[in-house]
Amino acid sequence: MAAPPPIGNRVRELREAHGNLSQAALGDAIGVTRHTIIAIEQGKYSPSLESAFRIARFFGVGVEDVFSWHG
Amino acid sequence: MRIWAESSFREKSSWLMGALMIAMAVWYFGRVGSQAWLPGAALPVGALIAYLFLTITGSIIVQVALAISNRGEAGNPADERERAATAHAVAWAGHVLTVVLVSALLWFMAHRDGVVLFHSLFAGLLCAQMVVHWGTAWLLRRGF
Repeated sequence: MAAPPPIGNRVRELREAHGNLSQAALGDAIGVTRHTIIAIEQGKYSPSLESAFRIARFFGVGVEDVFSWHG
Repeated sequence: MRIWAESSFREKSSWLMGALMIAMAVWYFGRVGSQAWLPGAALPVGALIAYLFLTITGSIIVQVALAISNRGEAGNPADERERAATAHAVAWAGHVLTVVLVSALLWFMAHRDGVVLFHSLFAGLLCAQMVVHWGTAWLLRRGF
């Protein structure tokens, strides 16, 4: 198993706070698959800057409210 | 089985296509046999045509079966993570192909044996395809 990237995120927390939004619905909203949302939540994949902004915009927060650097 | 059920369409497709490539490579090299590698041996044109036909047919069957069992995902374009995984795997395949190609050319320069050159390059292409498919699947499974 490769070391996960030193980037944490609150995607799952924000999703649950938004009426327990499904991973598929969030994926559809930002243009990625459900599996990519799962990978982001599990820290297995760091999204592109564009997707990071899309996620933040979707939840109505700033990018740094969603993603944090742990390096 | 649970891992398989939770896998994305592209991950399943990559695992199965990699398996098909290996099965077809084993079939092809089993069919042409060790005699085909000897200097002056005729190129196995019949086996090559059969290989191409079976690989294309097998790929169609695999993709249709997967599309039927994953109707929701099959028609969707690859997203950024899937495209990135494929790009990584294609880069690895390029390294594999380079090593095989250079080795085959060095062998040819030393032995002037076009038959071995042909089979080596064909094997290199098969290896590169396997690396693309299984590399993509592995990256999608493991994360990157």
